[in-house]
Amino acid sequence: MSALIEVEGLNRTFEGPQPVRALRDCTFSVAAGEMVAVTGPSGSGKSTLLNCLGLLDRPTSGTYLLEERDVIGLAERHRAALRARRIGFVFQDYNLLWGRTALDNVALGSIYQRERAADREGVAKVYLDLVGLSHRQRALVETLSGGERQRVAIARALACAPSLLLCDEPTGNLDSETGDAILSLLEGLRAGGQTIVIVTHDPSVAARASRQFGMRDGTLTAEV
Amino acid sequence: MVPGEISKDRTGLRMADLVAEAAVGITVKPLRSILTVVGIAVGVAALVATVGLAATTARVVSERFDELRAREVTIVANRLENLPSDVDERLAVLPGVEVGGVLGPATSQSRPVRAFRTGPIASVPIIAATQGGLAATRPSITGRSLDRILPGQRVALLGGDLAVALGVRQRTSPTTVFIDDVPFTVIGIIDRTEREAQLATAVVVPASVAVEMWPDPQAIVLIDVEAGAALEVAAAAVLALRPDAPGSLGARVMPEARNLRTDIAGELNALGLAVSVTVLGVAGLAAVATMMLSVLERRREIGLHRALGARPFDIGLRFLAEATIIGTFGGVLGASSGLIVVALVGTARNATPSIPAWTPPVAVVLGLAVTLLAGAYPAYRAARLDPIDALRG
Ligand SMILES: Nc1ncnc2c1ncn2[C@@H]1O[C@H](COP(=O)(O)OP(=O)(O)OP(=O)(O)O)[C@@H](O)[C@H]1O
Ligand SMILES: [Mg+2]
Repeated sequence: MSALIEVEGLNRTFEGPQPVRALRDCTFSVAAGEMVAVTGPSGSGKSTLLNCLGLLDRPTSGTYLLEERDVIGLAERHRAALRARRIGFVFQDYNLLWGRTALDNVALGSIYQRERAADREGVAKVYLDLVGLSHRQRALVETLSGGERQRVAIARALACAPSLLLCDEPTGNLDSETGDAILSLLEGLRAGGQTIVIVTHDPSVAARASRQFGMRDGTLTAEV
Repeated sequence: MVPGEISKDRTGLRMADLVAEAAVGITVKPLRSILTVVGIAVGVAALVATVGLAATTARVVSERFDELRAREVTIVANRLENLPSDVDERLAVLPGVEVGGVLGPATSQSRPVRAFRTGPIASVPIIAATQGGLAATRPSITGRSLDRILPGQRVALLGGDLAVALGVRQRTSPTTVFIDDVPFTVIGIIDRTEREAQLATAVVVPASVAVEMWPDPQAIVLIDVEAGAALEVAAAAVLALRPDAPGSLGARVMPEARNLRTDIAGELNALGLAVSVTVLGVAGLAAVATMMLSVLERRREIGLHRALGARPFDIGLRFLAEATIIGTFGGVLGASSGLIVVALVGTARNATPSIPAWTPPVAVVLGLAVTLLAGAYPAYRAARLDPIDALRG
C-alpha cells in the first residue's frame, strides 16, 4: 500500500528578530489506515508540523506529498479545497461555535463542499450517532460536557469524509477517563480504515497509536 | 501538478449557506447589529425626509405662487391721462376679470410724508390707485378702501409697516398725513396684500387726485383674473380701455413660474442633502468600527472556517454578506421612516406630501452602498487573517 503522507526534509522557520526553526529537516511517511502519534515537550514543534500537514501553514522548504500529489506549491484555493474534502481537524479546545446545536456544528464540517444544508444535516446525524451523541443533537454545545464537546468536534472533522484526520492534543482538556474514551473512539475509527495523526505530549496517549515519533526542538527523533 | 480532481470539484459556500451563515453571524450580537442598522437607517431616513420635505415645501410655495402669477394681467399706458376715468367699470364687465383698475407709482421718486403737523418725516413711495386696482392686490384693509370716494377727494391709505413707522397705528381718531405738505385724510390701513408687497411701506392715494397733484403719474393697470383667462383678458382689456387706440397700451401676462419651482427645490435640497449625507457618512464610520470589532471577536471562528476549507475569498464574502443584510435592513427601514416623516409633516401642514419617485429606491441603494463600503475594510482584514493566528484566538 502506498503512503498517504510522504514528507521529506521539511523545514519551517518563523522569521522575526529571533528566527525560530520550529521544524528541522523532518522526514517521515504515514500509510493509509495508520494511527500515528507525535510526542514531545511543549514548544518542540508538534503543532507546527500538524498545521503543515493540514495545509494551514506553508513549510519554508521540503517536500510534502499528500495522496501522492505534491501539495507544497499549490495555490491557496487548491489548498483550501483539499482542506474541505481531504482533511479533518480536531483541536485541543474543540473550537465549536457557541449558541448553536451539536447538529449545526457537525453539519458545518462539510459546508465548503457545496452540499445542500439538508444533506449535510443528514450526514451530520450519522456521525453524531457514530460518536455516541445522537441523543444530544439538538443541545446547544455550551451545555455539553468536555468529553461530549470533543466528540462533537470529532464528528465535525469526520463530516467531510477526510482521508486524513489531524488531532492536536485531543485529550489535553479532558480528565484521563474521558480522554480514554475519546482515544477508544479514535481507535475505533482507525479500525474502520481512517488515517489519523495525533499530536500529544502525553506518553500514555501516544502508546495507543500504531506508531510513534518523538519530537525535540523541531527535529523528529526516534521512531518508537 | 494540480490534479484535475481538485479543480473540478468546486468548493466554497452555496448561496443559501452564505446567507444563512451571515444571518447567524449578525444575530450573535443582536444589539450591536440593531444599532448598526439603526445608524444606517437614520442616515437614509434623513436623506429621504430632506428630499421629500423640500419637494413638498417647494410645491406648496410654487403652487401658490404659480396660481397668483397666472391670474395676473398688467397693462401699461404712457400717461395716466391716456386712460379713461372709468377703468374699473370697463374692466369689471369683461368676462374672466375678477377685479381690476389703476395701480402704479404716482411720482417717479419717493415724497416726504409725515403724520400730523409735527410728526417725523419719512420719504415714501406714493401709489396712485383706483378701487379696482387696489382690490386686485387682494389686500386686507383696516378701515375703508377707495370705494365711494368723490373725485378729487384727498384721502389716503397707509401701508401697514409705514403706519407703524409713522406712529399712526396707536391713534384711534381719524388721522391726517401730509404729502408734500398737502393734508390727506387717512381712511384705512393696508395690513397685507397678496400681490405688490411694496404697498406695505407706501401711501396709496386716489388716481384722480394723483393726476391733479403730480406731473406724470405712471399709468399701470393691474387686473386679477380667473385661472386660465389671462391671455383672453389681456386682449379684451386693451380694447375695452382704448377702443380708439388699443395699440397705445401694452399688456403683460406673467410667464409660467415653473422654473422657480425647481430653483426653490434645488436650494432646499442642497442644504438638506449635505446634512443627511453627513449623517450617513457618520453612520458608515460607526459601521466600520462595529464590523471591525466583530472581525476581531470572531478570529477563532474565522480560523475554524479556514480549517474547514474556506478560502480567504470565502471569509471576505461572508462579512460582506453580513454587511449586505445590515445595509438592506437599514436602507429599507430608513426609506420607510423617511417617507412616513414626509407624510406626517405634509399632513400636519395641510400640504400634499410630494417626493420624487426615485428617492426611496436610490436611498435604499445608497444605504446599502455605504454599509458595503464600511464592510469592505473589515472583510478584507478578515480574509487576510493568518488561519493559525486566528485559530489561536
Ligand atoms: N507564529 C509563530 N511565530 C513565531 N514563532 C512561533 C510561531 N508559532 C510557533 N512558534 C514557535 O515555534 C515553536 C514550536 O511551536 P509549536 O506550537 O509547534 O509547539 P508545540 O510542540 O505544539 O508546543 P505545545 O505542546 O505547547 O503545543 C515554539 O518555539 C513556538 O514559540
Ligand atoms: Mg501545540
